Amino acid sequence: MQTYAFNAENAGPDGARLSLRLFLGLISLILISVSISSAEVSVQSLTGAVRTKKIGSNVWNRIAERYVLAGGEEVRTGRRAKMVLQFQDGSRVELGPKTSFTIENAGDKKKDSFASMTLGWGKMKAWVRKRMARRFRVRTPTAVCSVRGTEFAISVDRNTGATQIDLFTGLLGVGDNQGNETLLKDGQSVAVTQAGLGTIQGSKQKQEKEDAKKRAALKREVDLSMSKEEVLAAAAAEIKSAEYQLGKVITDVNGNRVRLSQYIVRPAPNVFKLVTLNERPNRFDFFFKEGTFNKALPIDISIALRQTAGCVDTACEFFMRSFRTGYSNTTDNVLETASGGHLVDINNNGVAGDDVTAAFDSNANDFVTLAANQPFFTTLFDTEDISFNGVSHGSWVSGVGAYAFGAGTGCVGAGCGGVQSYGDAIGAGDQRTLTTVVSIISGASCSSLDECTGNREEGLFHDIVYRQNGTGTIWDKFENYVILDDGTIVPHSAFAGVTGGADFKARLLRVNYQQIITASEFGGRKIDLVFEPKTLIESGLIP
Amino acid sequence: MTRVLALAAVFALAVPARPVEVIPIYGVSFLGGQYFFASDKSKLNANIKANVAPALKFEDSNWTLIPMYNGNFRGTKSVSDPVGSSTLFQQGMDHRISARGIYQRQDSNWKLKPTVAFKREFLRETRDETWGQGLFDFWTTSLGVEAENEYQAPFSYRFGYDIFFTKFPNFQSLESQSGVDPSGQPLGRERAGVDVLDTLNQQVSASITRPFPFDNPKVSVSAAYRLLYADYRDQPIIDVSGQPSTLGRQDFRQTLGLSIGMPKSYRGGRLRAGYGFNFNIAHNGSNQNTFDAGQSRFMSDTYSYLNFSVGPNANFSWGPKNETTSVSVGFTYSRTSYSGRLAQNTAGAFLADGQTDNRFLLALGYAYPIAPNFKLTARTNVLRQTSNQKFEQSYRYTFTTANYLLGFAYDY
Repeated sequence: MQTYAFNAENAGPDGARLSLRLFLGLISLILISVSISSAEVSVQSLTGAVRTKKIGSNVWNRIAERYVLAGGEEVRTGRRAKMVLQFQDGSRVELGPKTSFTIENAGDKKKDSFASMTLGWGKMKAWVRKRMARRFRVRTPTAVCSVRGTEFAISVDRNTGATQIDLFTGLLGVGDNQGNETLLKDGQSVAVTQAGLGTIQGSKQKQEKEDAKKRAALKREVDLSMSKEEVLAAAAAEIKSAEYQLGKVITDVNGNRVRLSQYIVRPAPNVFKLVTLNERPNRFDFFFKEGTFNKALPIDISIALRQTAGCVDTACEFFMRSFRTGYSNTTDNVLETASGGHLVDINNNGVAGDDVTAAFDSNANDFVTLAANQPFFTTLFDTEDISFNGVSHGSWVSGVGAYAFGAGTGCVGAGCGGVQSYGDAIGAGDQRTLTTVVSIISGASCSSLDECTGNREEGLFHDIVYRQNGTGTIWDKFENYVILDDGTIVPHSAFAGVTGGADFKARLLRVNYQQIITASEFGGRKIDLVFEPKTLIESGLIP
Repeated sequence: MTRVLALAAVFALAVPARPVEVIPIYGVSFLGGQYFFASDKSKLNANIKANVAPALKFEDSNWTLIPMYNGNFRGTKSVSDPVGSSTLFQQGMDHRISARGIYQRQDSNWKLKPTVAFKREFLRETRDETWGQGLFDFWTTSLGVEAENEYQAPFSYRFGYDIFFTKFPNFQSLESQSGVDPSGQPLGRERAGVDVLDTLNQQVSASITRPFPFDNPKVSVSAAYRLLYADYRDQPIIDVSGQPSTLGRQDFRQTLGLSIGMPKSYRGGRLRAGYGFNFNIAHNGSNQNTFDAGQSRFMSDTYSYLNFSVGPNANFSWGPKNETTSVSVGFTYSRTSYSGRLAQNTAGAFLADGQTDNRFLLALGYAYPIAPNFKLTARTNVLRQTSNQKFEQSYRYTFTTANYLLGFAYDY
């Protein structure tokens, strides 16, 4: 028989071997007829790789159709294999792929012996002739099936030995390893595990179970798909969260979201421009401060910017010669310009009333107290102008071309030229020539609360600064709010009664500052900006 | 969108025309609840969820096709949502359509699963935002394939690859819209990006679930690893002087997760329980820096972080299988440490330590059966976050938040 198998595997269509093939075929026919007459189970059909191992042997041989199995011979089917075994009485067994099957005893129709076989793992389906029925037995690692019917299927899990038995027609006795037995009727199924027999299920129950199994498998796929989707969605959520955490999105006093972007532009080696952009639906506002310094700025611009608020004890290395500060809604603008910047030690400039006793120290992010006559160098500008859409609301120019300060100790910069003190409008030290266009309107001078300088919501940081000229034809209004990140107006109580000085400013740093600017030149439009107060302090707008 | 539909059509055509068995899988839930933040609470709002997946099983074919629609409306914020501006109000909805093919030969444990999907998410976080105009609205188109070997159902190992593009259509950098100042000088920097949040992502993943002991499972162990590469195609790297460079931002996010599950039954199987423990570690490596213009401070590696989370969970259920009453409880502790993002004091001054956030999340759930597959559900989550970041001008880092949701769920 092994000869036949060998030949069957190696036979080919080569015409040169025709005579040899005919010869071998003839020999095979003779051998098959001898086998069928003496053996019990033969291979009726076969696809894929199937190998067998005879009892007591370690060699696996590939077989082909018409091969006859001997008692105790184990059959293993390959991954894509399928085979049908034919018993002498016409009964058939179909083996599925990846199956281990052993004919223990093929039975003998002439004797009253059992046809017994073992399904180690995999799947089999059997059609048993009635005359064989009472003598047909299949053993699995967990069950024994004694056939009293005609058609059934068995599948065995390779790892656990769990056995699923489905009877299509007839009767089937099933026993487990604990000695329990049951009888299956038409259409019934039972699962047998190491724990024993399961519950018998009818064809309807079986169908429902199969449907449920199918549904569970598909539901699992849906769940896996959704789990993956959650991972992808998390990536988008993280992008959004980072934008919030970096303070790029806040809410204004009206509950509208404001996108905030702040950065520094360096158009020339000695120029920096701090830009703050605000965007809300349907509007865009911006603020900028452009400073031209006395020398080229370092890569780490913070070294220079820390000195813009002034330097204690020693003269600043970097100071601004000129600046432009602008507010705009892209249509209207407020532009403040200054030029002729130079350093002055204002605590030793011989001018009474302008001494600084506390200064903002950017390094400490706080205010420091200065001793009397402790040198404090700050930048004073010789000219300044503030205009709304090009219309000046106030300006001044230096009243002197040069100022010889004492022995020159307080004077820094080329020629020590320029104004040495602002003082107050009527102070002896004030060297400026003022051109006042608008003045603050408050108290009894107010025509309405909307056009009146003062607090507008009791107990809350909501204030108005209103200025106008004598006839009221030129005016500007600054409406200021201090708000939290969610747009809530900060109450005065949050500052624990502190309304001025260093502590007040330190607390101010923890909130946001919203400024709404309107003016006679804007035609009813407004500039609406939300700042971080630090921007205003760094820019020198909050001294 | 057109590309996705075209791909779906090609995918559908690739499946041979054969008799089809349709197995509908669907679920819907309607929940109402509130969100609490600090001492404030939101108004009562609804969360609605719907999933429809009419799976198509082609007879005499190795293919199954699962077209899916998932829709969500969220009126009540999740506790894990950012708590920045507009902390209470948030409404979101998303719609996702996808098609997942499953190819499996009858004699094989392997499944090959190509997937194509399109998702659109809408978000309203402030009163002035309308549907479709939300700043953080986004859409994602994804294409992926997964190979799974179910070596012992339901245990398997899987390998996957996904490529997806995420677009925030309403989010362009402000700088790109800034124009010029009143003197005609440009306000924006050279090389400033426009679509700075849009990303092209690629992800490889591997995961395994395994029973212990293998032959008589008592414990299930799962392990999963993911590597996500995100290419921010229009977000230039910020250099030490605060200027955009010619290089683009790239992030590599790695995640390793381990979980252990142990089912138990008591009282002859009438009370079933599941105990679990999860451990996750994630690292994001980004080449992006930031420049705090207000503080004139350059910070490298701002977006890189290391996160780990651990926590136990348990669930208990009783009653017939499709009419179970269940209770679940879970606790998660997570810690995120940023590599380059420095902590600040209350006034905003930078400190020497990197920012570190700690989160403690408690989740409770209850489900009571009203009819087969139909349940009354209740859920609540409480989150406490602490941080060494004390500068809270525009974002809260130390807070407590909670939500609850009550309603009905139907799953089939």
